Amino acid sequence: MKSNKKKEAKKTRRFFSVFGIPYAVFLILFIIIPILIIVYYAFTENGQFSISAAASFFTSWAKWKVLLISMFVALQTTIICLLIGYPLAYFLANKKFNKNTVLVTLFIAPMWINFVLRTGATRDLLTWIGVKGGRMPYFATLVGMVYNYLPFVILPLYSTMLKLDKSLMEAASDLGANPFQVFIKALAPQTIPGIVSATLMTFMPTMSSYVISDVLSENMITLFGNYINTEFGLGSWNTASFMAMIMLLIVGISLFINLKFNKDKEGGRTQLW
Amino acid sequence: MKKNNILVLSSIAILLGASAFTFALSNTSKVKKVASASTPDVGEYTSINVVNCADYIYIKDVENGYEEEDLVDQFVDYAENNPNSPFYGKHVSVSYSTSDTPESMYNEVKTGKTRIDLICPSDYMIQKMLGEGMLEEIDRDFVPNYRDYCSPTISSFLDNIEATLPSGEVKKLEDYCVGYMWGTLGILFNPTFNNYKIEIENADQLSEEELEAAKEEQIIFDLRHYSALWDKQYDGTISIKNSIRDTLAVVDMKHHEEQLLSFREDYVNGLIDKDEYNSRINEIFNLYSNPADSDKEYKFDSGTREAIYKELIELKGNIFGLEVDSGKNDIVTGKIGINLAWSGDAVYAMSQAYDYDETTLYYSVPEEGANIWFDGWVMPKNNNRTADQKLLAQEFLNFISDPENAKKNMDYIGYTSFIAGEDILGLIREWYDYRTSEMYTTHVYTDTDEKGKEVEVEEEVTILVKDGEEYRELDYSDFLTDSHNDALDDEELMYEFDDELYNVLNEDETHKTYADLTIVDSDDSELFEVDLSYFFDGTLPTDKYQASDMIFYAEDYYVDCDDEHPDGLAVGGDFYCQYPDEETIIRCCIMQDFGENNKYILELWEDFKSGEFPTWAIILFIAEVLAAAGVAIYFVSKRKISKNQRKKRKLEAKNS
Repeated sequence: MKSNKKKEAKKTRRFFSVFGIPYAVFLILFIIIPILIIVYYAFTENGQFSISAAASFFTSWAKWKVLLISMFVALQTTIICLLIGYPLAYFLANKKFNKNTVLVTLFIAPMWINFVLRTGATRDLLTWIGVKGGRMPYFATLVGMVYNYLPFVILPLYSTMLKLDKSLMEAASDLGANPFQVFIKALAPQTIPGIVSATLMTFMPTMSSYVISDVLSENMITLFGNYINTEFGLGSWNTASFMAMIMLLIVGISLFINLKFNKDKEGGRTQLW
Repeated sequence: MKKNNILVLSSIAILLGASAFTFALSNTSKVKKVASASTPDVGEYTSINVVNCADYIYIKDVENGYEEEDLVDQFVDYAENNPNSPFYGKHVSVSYSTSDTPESMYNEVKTGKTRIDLICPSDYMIQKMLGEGMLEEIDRDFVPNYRDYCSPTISSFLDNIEATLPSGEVKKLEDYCVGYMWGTLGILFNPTFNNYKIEIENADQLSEEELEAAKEEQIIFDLRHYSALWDKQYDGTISIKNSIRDTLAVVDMKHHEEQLLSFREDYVNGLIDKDEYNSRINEIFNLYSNPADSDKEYKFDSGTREAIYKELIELKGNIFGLEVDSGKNDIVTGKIGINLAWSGDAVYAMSQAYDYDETTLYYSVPEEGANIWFDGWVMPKNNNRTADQKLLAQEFLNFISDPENAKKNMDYIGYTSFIAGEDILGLIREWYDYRTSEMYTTHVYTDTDEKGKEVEVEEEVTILVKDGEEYRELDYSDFLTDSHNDALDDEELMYEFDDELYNVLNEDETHKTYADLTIVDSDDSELFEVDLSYFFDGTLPTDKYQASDMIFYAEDYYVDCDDEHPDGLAVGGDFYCQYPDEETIIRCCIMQDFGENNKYILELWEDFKSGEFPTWAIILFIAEVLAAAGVAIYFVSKRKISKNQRKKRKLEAKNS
């Protein structure tokens, strides 16, 4: 009887695996093959093996500067988003403050409108209140980035906060911990998976985004994504591909870090990805 | 859980299918196949692939008043059904697609799998392609319309460009390229923009209106030079091009302002002729193409690089921003007051700004000199092209070089065509010549509409003039001083409406406007005499047109603010954008391909674009990284300590 059940399960699994085919096709066509093409262009020049693209990246201060500036902008965006998003997610998840989910919807709503449209509107708004993007490129870019990525921070934090074990916090305060200690010892550790996935959802896309910084800083700030785009536009495919590969490498490293945090926390499936 | 999986997977499958479908759809709409009705047999079926920029050819657009078929369709129709066409009675097809930039066009030719028969990149890219031996010759005898109607002055710009093949052989561009559209790169500005910080002497003694006028005059005066872009008075109101070639051209001209203006003085004083003047400007303008070790006076060596970079950084500190296509809208909506603009965009912005809030914008081709650019058709080399296909491609070029079709293109795109000739002359008159508006008057009458309500209707009618006993329509020549028609003074001007003749100058309820027919007769300084004979010479039938027919009378050709420079004012309206006068053309140069300097110039641009990393940002960045590292170390060490303690406790527990 038991083996029969097992067979049945296997059969069902095989049946369902058919539905995986479209995704497999998608994966190969739009993810694996493009990555291979990038790697090919990164290490060739006119069809011959060459490390000139790598050399041009590692010897150019301009390119390193762009990488550092992108990291800086990405880091600031992440920190500001977390500072705003963390308490917000806490209140949204708390039934005492948020009786229904309308507020959550309101905060997530901008995600449904295309960000290019929103960025154009943000530019108009900023110039209207007298903020010239070309004059305060960092400020304007950060405003746009935070506005754009805040929902991506709120959402994972919100879903972790929903599952908070409140008794822990009550116990902590009953045992004489002050509010700060409650936060550090009882609340924060529980939300680490949310923080990590929120960070990843913000940091990496910010580094590679280019429409927001282009439009809001009036092309005065060049982020890594802009730079790759510019290089492609100028016809230097090899350099651009090598830089895209560096980008992939950074994505890989951050995924690795994410995985590490996942392992630490049992049942860390609360994250979005 | 399983159910969810199925849902997710099937929705992915649907999405995939849908996206594949839309992809296929968008592909077909992008590559426009103009096939013949019947399936043609192999052998009598000729097809060519044409690649152009987006929105760069006449397309049917009924909403905006372009009611004829797409020009490509018209060509197919012409080639198959016109007895003059070598493909008369045969089947032809044109597959037309678009590409974004000259660089992407180059890549398409270089790496693309399909055969491209005609492609339309910019000047420097054609030169680059030619230098790499990628182009096939186009015999202009097979493109008779271009040979006969192309403006000689404009095509001479193209003819003077050469490219050297790796083998050392020198090729001339004129054998490989058929010009399409051309224009200048100048400064578009709003003289009444109120965010400038202009300082006027004795401002407190002037009334408000006088002050406004003085300011406007000052702005127009300043904007005749590139140095205005560096001027702190215009701080934060300027946007420049986010493209290497355009911005570098401007920086170069500003840096050599003194030399360029001294050449100009020599030219105005008659010390040098126009060819010498142009070639002197050209030496400075094309210094980017001269390698550091060349023996030219102006070249791209480390000294020049430093100087140009310094100017660039200084410029960056004075501007509102960099843009490639938002500038023409920003100047309309009042975000900026000054924009480095291509002439075609300037024309667009001028009409938009006027429609938006009746702002008048001006366009300046600075006195130092300017960049004249062109886009032209070339035929990339390809071994798979048959003789028939080459013939059809040449026939296509001939078709779009027909003045009548060039007129349609110009009307639709807004840029200026290489083609001159009668039709273009008529078009320019219709657009810009003041006399055109004097040939019409308005007849007003009351009519009843569908609901039986009385409405006032105004209808434009052509003015008639008495010629002997008969009446005929007014002609441009009637307005000229030397052939002045006496009938115009006799006030015997009539117009016809519903088979009845009305007197134009008779004041009654039937018409509203009166013709002012003395406009060209007197020394009326309100109108500018624009001589475009440099453009039209040799393209008009000599028995029908005289020199005076190439003179236009326009209202806002130049902006008159400076009596000291009667010859060659540098600021004008939309007519000036599209057809600059000869004095302006003389100081324009084509910017050649950078050649072996290309990679150094890319580096320069990268340095410029990567921007400054401000000190406060560096400090903040380092502090945050250190803090993050500190927290990480704290947690790791804490964990290690607690781990050790746990071990210890366990051991103790075991021992006890």
